[in-house]
Amino acid sequence: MTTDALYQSHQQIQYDHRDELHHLLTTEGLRRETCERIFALTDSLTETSAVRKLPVLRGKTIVLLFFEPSTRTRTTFEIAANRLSADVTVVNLATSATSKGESLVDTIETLQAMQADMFVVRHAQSGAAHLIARHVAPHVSVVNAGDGCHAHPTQALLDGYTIRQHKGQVEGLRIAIVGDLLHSRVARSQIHVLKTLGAAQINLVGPKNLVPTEFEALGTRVYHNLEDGLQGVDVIMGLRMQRERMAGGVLPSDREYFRYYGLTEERLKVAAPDAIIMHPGPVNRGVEIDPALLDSDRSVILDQVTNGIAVRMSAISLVLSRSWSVET
Amino acid sequence: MAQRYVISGGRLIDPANGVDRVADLAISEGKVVAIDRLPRGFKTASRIDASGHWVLPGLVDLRARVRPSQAEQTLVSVSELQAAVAGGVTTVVAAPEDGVLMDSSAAAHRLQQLSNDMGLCRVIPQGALTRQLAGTQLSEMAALQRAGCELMGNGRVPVGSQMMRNALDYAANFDLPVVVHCEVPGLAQGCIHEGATSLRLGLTGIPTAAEEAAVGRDLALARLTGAQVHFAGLSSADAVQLLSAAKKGGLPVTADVAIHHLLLSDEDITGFDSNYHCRPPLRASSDCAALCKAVRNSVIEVICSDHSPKLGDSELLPFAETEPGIAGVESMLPLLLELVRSRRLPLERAVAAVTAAPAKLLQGSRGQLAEGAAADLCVVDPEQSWPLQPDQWQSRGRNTPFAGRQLQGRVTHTLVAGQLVYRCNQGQAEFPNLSVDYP
Repeated sequence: MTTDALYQSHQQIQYDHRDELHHLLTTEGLRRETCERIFALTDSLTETSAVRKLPVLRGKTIVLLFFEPSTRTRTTFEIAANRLSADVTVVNLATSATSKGESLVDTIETLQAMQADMFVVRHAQSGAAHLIARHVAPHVSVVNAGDGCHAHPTQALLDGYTIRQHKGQVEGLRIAIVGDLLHSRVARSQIHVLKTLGAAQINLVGPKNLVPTEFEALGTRVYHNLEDGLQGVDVIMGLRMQRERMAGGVLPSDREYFRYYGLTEERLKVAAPDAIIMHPGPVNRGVEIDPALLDSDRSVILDQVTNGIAVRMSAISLVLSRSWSVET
Repeated sequence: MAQRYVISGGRLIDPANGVDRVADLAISEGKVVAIDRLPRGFKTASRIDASGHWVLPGLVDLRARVRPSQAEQTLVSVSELQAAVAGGVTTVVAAPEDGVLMDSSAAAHRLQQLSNDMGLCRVIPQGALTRQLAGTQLSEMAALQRAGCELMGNGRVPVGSQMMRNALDYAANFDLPVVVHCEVPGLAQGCIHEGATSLRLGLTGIPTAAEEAAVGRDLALARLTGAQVHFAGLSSADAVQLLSAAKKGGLPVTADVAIHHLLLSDEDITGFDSNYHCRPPLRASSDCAALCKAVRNSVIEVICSDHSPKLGDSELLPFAETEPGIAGVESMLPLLLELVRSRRLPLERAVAAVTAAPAKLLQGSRGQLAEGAAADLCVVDPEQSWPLQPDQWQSRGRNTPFAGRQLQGRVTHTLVAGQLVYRCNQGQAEFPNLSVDYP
């Protein structure tokens, strides 16, 4: 595992002086015990099939700052925060002040006046959550809900949790991530979580345009041929193919992409017999994955959605429990 | 009558004349009038005791902005010229840019007039290669040359191939060196070097091929037209290799590199710190090493500051949205000495790269300290150790990735045309020649 200056800087900004998680910005630099604590908390939340409303964050204010449109992630964060009894405000900034030249940090300072305990941030620029974390007051926490192509840590954690649910543990597994790695914040965060949790092998699979060989510097293997990349893997994680890539001249067409890189039952024959299929959603049926495969027993995509709420509840409460211990 | 100075007991390092020894300098009427043996009448001259210090020709900075970006409408800011002389720089070449197009004689005269009035360092305008830098019509280069533009260039605005060919052909008529920035715009949509770091940070990368392809084109055009082409701000080993091969083949081109590209690589970029955002981007550590080697071998002759002070809240924006550029005219010399101490550059080559080598591209006898030369010089305390604190800078730009770095070597005096323009008096900056109009 790379533990260079960049790795350490990610660790430094996320943990406080007592080594507790202060911000959740990226899975790079996240400690294994932090991931496992989040999973254990999630276990306890999902033990009862219907999750009741818990009083743990009563009196806390969580502001969801969405500079970029999102339905799924915003909704699950909103539900998660509500179930923890926090006061939740959603600020949709995709079309407001920032597009008129107001800088990101000015916006944050205005919102500070709302006395938030936590900002959950989604932004189109890589590094936006880091920037906000550097500028908020010391008692305020930031959770990254997706920044540019950089990171989407809660998605990667819920993916890790879902794998653990189906395979017992991530340790020792062989995992393929297939699709547009270059533009995927989800994939980047998955790579770091899976490495931290001890995955035996991580294959990144897709055309060279979307899976540069330099990804091997992250301790992964890069394959430009789907069958080679799926050989013997226990888990296959598909990624959403942005249709803009076709228009932008990166790839010729949906059809040709599906023909060579689309996931089908036939292509999965080289994977382990009990391999599971995952996808962060929303799925482009017939572009990255065969609809039949989506509805097969191998697919755990709906579990990912369900776990999304519980894992986000755990992550939020872990980060905010830090400030409880300041007070008591 | 202009003041006379004797600079005594310093180690005179003057690579242009192969001098490195302790010597006394006598200065009168803006010139060095004697070295070692002081002429009669110099007993009454002001004495600068330089014992234990180095005396260097004033630095010539081929690329430094003389006004902060987003600054008020002005051609030149006093703060940036104060910064220059505090860094030992006595001549700055100001490139044309948006807002300072430098495509008319009037603009060139005005810039020189304003700078002269300030009483700090010399500013030489780089004339615009094309009108309004638009790349569609040639500028009146000969007129600009007469107005004091000793170099031509189109700033960072790319020029199409046919237009560049025309411009080089035309500039060659007047022996005007042309400065080119090397980046194929279509390949340079990113904000950071394309490599493992760009992948980890999820920032769009700029491949070194963007530079290599542009250097290739302009080398070919230099060969075709016979123009004197100067490659500005190289960043990659690939470009150096092309340049080196062309020079071995006898092509009379020159090149420079920014000081930060000799010290930093993309591996230093942590926490999305936009102080590292520059153009071309900081490349891999192997590129950094190749650039140092190229300077050592004089494949790259010149080191410049690429001083790009920014005002305001650029640090409040995400990395990719910040304006690229590093302020650094005040830290160039100590950082250069760091390269010398760590044995990446010999002292003589390092000094030549900021004095004699850039001066060769310009008119006159700058960048050296022979008898009869202009008395542009700086005195340096090579032992003084000090932390780089941007808030103590003369420059209004605070954008540096070197903040907090412990530097060694500090300019104590700067003279331009025999006038003391800067003195560091127990850590306090003084500008004895600064015009009263600029308090």
